[in-house]
Amino acid sequence: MASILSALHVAAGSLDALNQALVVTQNNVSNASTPGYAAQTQTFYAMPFDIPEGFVGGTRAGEVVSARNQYAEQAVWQQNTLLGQSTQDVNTLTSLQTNFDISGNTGIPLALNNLFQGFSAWAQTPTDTNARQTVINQAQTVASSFQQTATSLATLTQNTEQQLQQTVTQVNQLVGQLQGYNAQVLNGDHNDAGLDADVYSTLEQLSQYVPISATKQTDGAVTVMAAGQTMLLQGDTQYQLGFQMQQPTNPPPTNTDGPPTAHILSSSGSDITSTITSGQLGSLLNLRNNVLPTYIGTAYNQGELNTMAQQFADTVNGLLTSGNISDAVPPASDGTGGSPAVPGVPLFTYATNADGTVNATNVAQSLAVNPDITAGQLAAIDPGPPEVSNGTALALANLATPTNAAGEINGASFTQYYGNMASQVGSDLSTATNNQQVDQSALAQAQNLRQQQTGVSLDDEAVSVIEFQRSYEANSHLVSVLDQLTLDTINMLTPST
Amino acid sequence: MAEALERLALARSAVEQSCHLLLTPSPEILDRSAAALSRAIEELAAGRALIPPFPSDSGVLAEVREIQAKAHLAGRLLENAATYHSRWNRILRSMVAGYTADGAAASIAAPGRLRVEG
Repeated sequence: MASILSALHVAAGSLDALNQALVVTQNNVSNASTPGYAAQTQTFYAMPFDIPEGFVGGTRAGEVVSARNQYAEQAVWQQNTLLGQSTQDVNTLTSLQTNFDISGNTGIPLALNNLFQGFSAWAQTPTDTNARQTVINQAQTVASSFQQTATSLATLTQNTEQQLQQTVTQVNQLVGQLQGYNAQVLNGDHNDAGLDADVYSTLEQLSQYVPISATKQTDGAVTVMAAGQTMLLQGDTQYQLGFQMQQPTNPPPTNTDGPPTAHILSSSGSDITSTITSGQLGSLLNLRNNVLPTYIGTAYNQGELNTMAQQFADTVNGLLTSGNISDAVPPASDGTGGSPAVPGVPLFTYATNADGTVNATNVAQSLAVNPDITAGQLAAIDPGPPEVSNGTALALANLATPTNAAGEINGASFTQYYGNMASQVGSDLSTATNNQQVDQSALAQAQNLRQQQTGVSLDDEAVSVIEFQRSYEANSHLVSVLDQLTLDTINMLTPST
Repeated sequence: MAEALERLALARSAVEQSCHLLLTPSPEILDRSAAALSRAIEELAAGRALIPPFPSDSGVLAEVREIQAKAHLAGRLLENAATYHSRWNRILRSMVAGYTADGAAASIAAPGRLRVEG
């Protein structure tokens, strides 16, 4: 019976509070334009809930204004998180782009073009030693270019991992500061405006690293969660995030030497990586676990740079080893003498595992010219039939503009495949740069909205909401028209696209 | 072509003005933003009519792309502000007037106003 009476008491108290709020708010709404009218504010707060101690919970008058402040702060944090993400995207993708020259004037595309020219010159003078040596020299440059790009990407990968560790450390330090503020509040500094400012300043800093939500408790302490589900701070207890690189085990890796993936751990050791999708930390995770593996590979994928290096090496080696260095010499009429044709030898080598299988994610890094090959061992002859004295050299030269699938990689020439990789980086960077500019404006807007609320009547907002709605719809319609008109104009100006 | 470019520049300027206004959204400012967007549409339509079928000036395309980028920014700012206000309004209604039977935030009664001065 006591519990029913308690429940009724709670309900009555809550209804009374709501009734007060309605009276106050409707009074304010009615008098919103009355000169000299001082708006009243109705507030709410939750009563403690602890049945054994006699606290039956419920709602009482609290502070609506504080809820609005909290809401406005949360809106700023959300935009700050997005800006932190796009800013980090721009920084890292700018570094990544330096590894992929699309102009063809440096690196892999230049080395490939030079090698194709070397093949072409050799095809014209298949027995010329200088032309053969030039091919070997250009092949060494191709191998070096792949190695340099792979090394540079490995360095960028390491830097990203260091940044991930630093960011997690930074998050823990900022939450540690908030823990200190909470301790002060719980020790009695409940109404210290300076302390309150420090708390919100720290939360704003924190929001650029991870998506956060924070609520102020009735005791004045702030509770902070990451991505809405991982507790970072409650009262004076901090829950630290952890970082580790880990090689996946399930399913078993196909590339045992493949790069590991980055993981963020909660204080209990749970893997919360998938929940951190925005902020600087989200950007770094995406870059380390999704973007860079596109090129360098993972435990399950070879990566485009390695795929290209291996397919190029295999294609060149395949043509050379199916060709002949010299023709067969038939035996004399008495059956003596004679010699078989001498087959070609591979031009490129790359790393293999102990069992002889390809070390798939280490091909670009280990690509090299066969150390035993000499100019005289390059096989120019295609044995046919019909035999063509420069057939292999011609086939190699034709790799520049392949006419069949054997010389292609995923339907593209090797140069085009590289160009696609480079243009993808450029496109990602362009998108990130645009996002950063938009996010900067969106953050400024959220900060302005937070600023605007000071001194604005809640009831005025309630009254003007219909007006807001109409204005938004009008603006939204105009933006749609403008967007369609610009799109039509762009299509008109670029009919081929 | 020069006149077309001039019109496009005016359109871009009007969208930029809208973006600037949308940084501090209020009902009054939203009205001004709508006026700026209308002006941008008019100038763009007028500029487009002046563009020859095969323009050789790449500046025209760049200008239109810039207008498109600014229109996207205006759209994002508009969406953010609308979301901000509608969510806050929902929270406010639920806190002040409670919930309806189906769980939605209840409406706050806004009776007609009567104002007497003198």
